[in-house]
Amino acid sequence: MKSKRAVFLFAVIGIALLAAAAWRAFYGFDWSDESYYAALTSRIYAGDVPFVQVWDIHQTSALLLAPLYSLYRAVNEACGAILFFRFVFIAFQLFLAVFSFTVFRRKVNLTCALIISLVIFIFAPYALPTMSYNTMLVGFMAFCALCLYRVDDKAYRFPLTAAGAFYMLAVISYPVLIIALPGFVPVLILKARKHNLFA
Amino acid sequence: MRVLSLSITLPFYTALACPVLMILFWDSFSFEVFAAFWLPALFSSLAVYLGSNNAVNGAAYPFILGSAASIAMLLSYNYSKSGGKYMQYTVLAVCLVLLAGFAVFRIMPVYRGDSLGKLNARINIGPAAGLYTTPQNQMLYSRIVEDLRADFTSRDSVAYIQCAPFAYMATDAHCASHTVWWIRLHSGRLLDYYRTNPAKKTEKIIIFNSYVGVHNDGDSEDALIMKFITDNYVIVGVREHYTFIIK
Repeated sequence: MKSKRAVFLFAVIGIALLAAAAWRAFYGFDWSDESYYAALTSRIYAGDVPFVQVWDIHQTSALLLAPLYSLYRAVNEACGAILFFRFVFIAFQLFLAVFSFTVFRRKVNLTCALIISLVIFIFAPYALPTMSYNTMLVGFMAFCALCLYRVDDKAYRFPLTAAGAFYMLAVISYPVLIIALPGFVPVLILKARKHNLFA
Repeated sequence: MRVLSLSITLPFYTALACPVLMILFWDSFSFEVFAAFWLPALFSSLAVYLGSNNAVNGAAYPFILGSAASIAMLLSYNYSKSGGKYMQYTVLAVCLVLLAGFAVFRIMPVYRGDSLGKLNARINIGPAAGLYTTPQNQMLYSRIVEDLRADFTSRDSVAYIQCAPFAYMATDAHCASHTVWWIRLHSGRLLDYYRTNPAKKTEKIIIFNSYVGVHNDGDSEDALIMKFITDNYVIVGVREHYTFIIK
């Protein structure tokens, strides 16, 4: 497919998906899980001490969201907090998709990079498009994997450091994820051999 | 429910293509893509499986990284080989259908809710303000939030029995329980919590009627209220959708 035509076609698809995601954010109220994600963050914001006064097993993900929620509360009451987190998620995904495109564009053809970034943008686990330990797990792991994939002869220190930082954020979001560390060993070995890193 | 189930497992099915492509196109297969995306996805999925009670299906979503690897492999191979225009467009069409699938599964299913077409009542108060839900849910939710706001202020501490996390954001009252998730009295964790956090102990308890929220498949509200009454609590208010008790 010609580059200009591909860019135009996927720009139209991308804008349509963004509009659909924004429209969809206004629909559906979940009494349980989604309210839980927001309430947990609200509790940390209210000043309850993590691990002492808060015993929820997912509280570490709320620690990451509490600063954002503080910004929201600086200008709002708790009113509309669930909708706020849905739009934060859309912004998070948009950023991830753009980053994904810039990384894949260096390695694969344009159409491929565009499709992958759009798939990453539109995906939401459990059809719950909001900031949660599930979505942050996927998002930060994607950032981490993209940084590792980005490593080459010219750029390796910053991508490797960033990959480590994103993995840390993923583990904070979902602590059991610490056991996923061995999953990164093969790519590190491949990259080290290919680009003569750590020599 | 079927659509929601498919939306959860679609990343896994898409990611499965990657190992198949590896076998088919061993010589041109990018192990870099496989190692950077597919293997971390596999390990992440394992972590989610071990860290949740959602079984194998519920642990499929990290495979979205594996799906990215599958698409990258499929399209990269497609464009690097002289398979002819027909083949190129066929593969591209497959990837676009996949993208459409992910989009439909993002937009159409409503988690634990009715279909999109039935969500036509706007919520105007509380943490869910701005959202559209069914008229029944809107009335139930709004009534609960209004009643809770009448009963509690920022000086109060309250524990909500049953699974109703939204209630903790409905007022400025402080949370007085170990979790904002489902409080199950028989677990004894609430009592353990008050023993280790005496400052958090509250005398104000709300017991929601069993149809409020989800997961309330344990004791009925009457049985729960009786448990508290035998512990010297008294009922101070019976609202439409919950009972307010105090010690």
